[in-house]
Amino acid sequence: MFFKRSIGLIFTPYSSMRKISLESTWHEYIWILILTIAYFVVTNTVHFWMNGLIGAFGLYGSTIIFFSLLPSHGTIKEKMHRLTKTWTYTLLPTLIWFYSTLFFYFLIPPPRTASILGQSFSIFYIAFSMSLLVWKLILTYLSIRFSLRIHLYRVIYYILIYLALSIPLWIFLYNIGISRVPFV
Amino acid sequence: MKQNTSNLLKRHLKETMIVEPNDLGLPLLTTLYRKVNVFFKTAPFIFIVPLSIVGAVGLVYLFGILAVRLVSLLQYGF
Repeated sequence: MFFKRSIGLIFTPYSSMRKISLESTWHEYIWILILTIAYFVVTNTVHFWMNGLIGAFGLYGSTIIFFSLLPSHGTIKEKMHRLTKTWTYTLLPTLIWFYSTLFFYFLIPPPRTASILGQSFSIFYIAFSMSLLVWKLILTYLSIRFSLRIHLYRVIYYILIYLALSIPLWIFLYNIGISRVPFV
Repeated sequence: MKQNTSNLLKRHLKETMIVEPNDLGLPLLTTLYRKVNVFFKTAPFIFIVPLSIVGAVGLVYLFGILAVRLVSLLQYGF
């Protein structure tokens, strides 16, 4: 079912996210959490895994709590329940990006040069990252819309508030060495 | 059979109406939003991937070595 929902988020993100907010159970999205833990354990060869894992789960939990507390439809408990389901699935593009970056790090270690091959890979990597970022933004919007059941303007407003609070936090996590790119 | 179809339809209608349709205030904006929204609801990668490639080519063409350095920075980002 997890696989079916993940494929659904690629081909029909709107209706898939709507179904996830209504029907999904922890048996499905536990796989994303397992993959997240696995990722940080694998990167232990490069930097200590526990720091990254604590940072990632801290960001995840605080994001869910933050959006649940904002004024919208439903009780806080209901919103947290729906957000846990939908926000976990928004980690899919994040996981794909981090795993693929890890793969490319070992396959084609940086730094890149200004040669034809370097520029070609740069174009591919930027296009790949941008595609995943846009997908992430779509899933984030749908997650907030279907979990909190609010309109477009309010979704944008809440995302802006979230970014205003999160960006300093991400910079702080970078400065103390927890994570270079925030795992959101 | 009819009962099953009826139940399925009711369930689908209930699912569809969990959120109110977006109304942006101005009819023109709402119409524009609905026209653009269609591309994001089903298989958005069909236009996201080509646009990303065009964007990436543009970025590398405009910024050259800076874009390549950005990629090196991102590759260390994991």
